[in-house]
Amino acid sequence: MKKKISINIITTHDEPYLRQCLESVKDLDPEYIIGYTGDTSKEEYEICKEFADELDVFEWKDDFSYARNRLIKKSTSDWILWIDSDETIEKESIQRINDLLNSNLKNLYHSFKLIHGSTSMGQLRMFFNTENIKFEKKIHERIIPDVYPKNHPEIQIIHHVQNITRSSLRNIHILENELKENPNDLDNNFYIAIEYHLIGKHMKALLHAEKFLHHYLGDDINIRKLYMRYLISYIHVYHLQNYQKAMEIMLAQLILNCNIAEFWCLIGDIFTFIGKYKYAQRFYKNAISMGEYKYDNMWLVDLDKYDTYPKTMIQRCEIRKNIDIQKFNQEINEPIIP
Amino acid sequence: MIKQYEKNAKLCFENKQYQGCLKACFTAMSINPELQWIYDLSGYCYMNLQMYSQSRGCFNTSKDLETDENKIKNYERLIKLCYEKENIDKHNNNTR
Repeated sequence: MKKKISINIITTHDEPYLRQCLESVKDLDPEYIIGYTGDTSKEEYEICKEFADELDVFEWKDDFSYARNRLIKKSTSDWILWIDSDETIEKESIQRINDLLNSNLKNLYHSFKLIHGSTSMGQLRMFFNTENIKFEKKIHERIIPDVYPKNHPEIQIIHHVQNITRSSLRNIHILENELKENPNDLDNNFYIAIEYHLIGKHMKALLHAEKFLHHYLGDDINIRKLYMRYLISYIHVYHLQNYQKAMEIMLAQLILNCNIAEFWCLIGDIFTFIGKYKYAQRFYKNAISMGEYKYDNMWLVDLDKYDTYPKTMIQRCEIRKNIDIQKFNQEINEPIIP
Repeated sequence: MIKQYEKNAKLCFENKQYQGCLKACFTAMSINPELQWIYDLSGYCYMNLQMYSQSRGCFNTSKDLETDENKIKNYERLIKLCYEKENIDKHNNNTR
């Protein structure tokens, strides 16, 4: 009997979460379409065989779209949900997906909330299986034709963060090749900047972030532009100690969007670094009272706990303030020795 | 210097130059973020720019800085108004 949904999974390297991943979606009673790229252990191959309704064995070509498009072609269900082999879906979310599938779905594209460590973002994960649908780009692949998915932040996919350096280096390699092939596709600079930042190569991250901003023609409130400016300021604060520059960028950002907690917190951090704790506290308070960013398509904050960091910092600043006052009192009470 | 920013901000606001007013407000904020007029003016600027959630955020901070009960009530009224306008906008966007 034809299944309602096909699960598309690629195994790109040894993956300790593979079994968990496959089991987590079992209650959807799916058709498992697994892409096995050979770059994995025998044990992993056995797990793939155990679950797969269709096991597609092919050589990994540093191209996620190529791999995903192969799996789409082999999917026979009406709906396709793609997940990565280092991701799992919690039971509650599976129930919600089941409810969705059993309802009269009008929208053909659905975005779920991907939780990655302490950050999260919306990502198109489930779509109706039609002939013309396919992925484009070797990495950070996107569905074409361009679609507007329905957001379901209540459906959560957990990405189990493992070896960030390994995956970032792989991603940088693919992205830089893509940039060589398509120098006009400047989106790659955005992703390269993030990857370099993740592995601590901040100067390279800064370079690509600035390239992205220099060439990007979209409007100023574009979320990627906001994020790249935030990244640049972050590097200026934490790695170059260039507070003035960071402050200028952040203030300009706040005029465009004062609802994002991170912007306020970064200015709070600047004032903390220069020892103006009272002012720092005000910025952290502003992060709480004004920075209530709501779930949209993409942002890199822990949306459920956006006030945790500023609350902690307000307390720390209070302690620092008191220490400094005590130190100051001690200094003026010390007798002057001629 | 901060007085000059306040003067510029108010002048911009009177001339309906809301972006210019916001710029003066946020620059003043980097010098002293505890001044209530900054958040008041920014709140009204965002309101005029129909950015209601941002406006609400500014009035929230103004309220936080206020001790007079009557003024707090006024901020609460403004915050509620922003909420309502925001919801109307959302509704209109959804039905479009």
